[in-house]
Amino acid sequence: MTAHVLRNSGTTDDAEDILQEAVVVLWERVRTGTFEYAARLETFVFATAKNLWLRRLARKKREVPGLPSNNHAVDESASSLDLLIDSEEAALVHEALERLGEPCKTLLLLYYWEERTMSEIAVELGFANADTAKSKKYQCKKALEKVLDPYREDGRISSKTA
Amino acid sequence: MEESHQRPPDPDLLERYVLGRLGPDERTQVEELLQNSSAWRDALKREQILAAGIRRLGRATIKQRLSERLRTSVHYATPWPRIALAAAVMVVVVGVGFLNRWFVPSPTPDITSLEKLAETDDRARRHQPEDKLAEQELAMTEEVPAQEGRRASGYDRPEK
Repeated sequence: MTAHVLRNSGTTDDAEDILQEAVVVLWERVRTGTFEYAARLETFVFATAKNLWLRRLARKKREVPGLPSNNHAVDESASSLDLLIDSEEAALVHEALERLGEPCKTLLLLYYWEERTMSEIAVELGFANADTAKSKKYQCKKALEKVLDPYREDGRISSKTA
Repeated sequence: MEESHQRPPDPDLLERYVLGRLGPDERTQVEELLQNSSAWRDALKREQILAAGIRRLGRATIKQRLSERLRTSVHYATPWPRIALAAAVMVVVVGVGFLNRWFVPSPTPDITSLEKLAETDDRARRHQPEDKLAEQELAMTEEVPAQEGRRASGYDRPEK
């Protein structure tokens, strides 16, 4: 896999980073019960890593025109969220979340990333009940949108579909 | 249907749509709304970006933990030079030890014989006063030999 990344404009650090991300993707799929792969695990990890690198390359190419393209098909099995994760907009949301702090950061992670139910989140974070947790989630999202407003105003995050 | 008459985007519905938590009927309903309403499409885009950003944070957190774990395991990976040094030290210590008979076991005392020894010793201590008494008696007989000797022989010789 390292050889593949190195052959395609990457470094050994890139290869290590991509491998770790592929393992995380595997973990996400297994955790959410969406992992369905008939081949060996290492084949899945390699295929995921390859596609992650291709998507990253495609993004880099947009930012740095002139990078060689290898005409490889980008992973079509990736969900729309998977495809968006590497986007600049997602990076800005990531940055905004860090600024948001706790408990919003953990609450949103538990809901959107770990896909826990509101009842589980209430227990985990010490809320009175699921409705209280849901209300808090709504407040956190509002706060996050407020942090992102400047990026929407300057067009770094598009607020309208094409 | 004109967009102005359509229901406004429902954040909860869009959340669940993005997370794949809608049942088939609700999903069909949302997809129809998305098809017919730019407001719903814009709201979906915002929701998708939020979800992607949150997941990006989640992945980064796990990657960081993975990276730290890997760094720790590399730190504890087999340090061959150190093992070679430790092995060399062991060889020297064992060699010196054999030369100085550190590893020759001293004879282990037989517990049975120890017990017997203790018994004998104990008996010896218990008998000591009687022995001493016998010694004293012996000493007395030696001090007055003549008188004690006649008496001791039992003849009543007629006195001359």
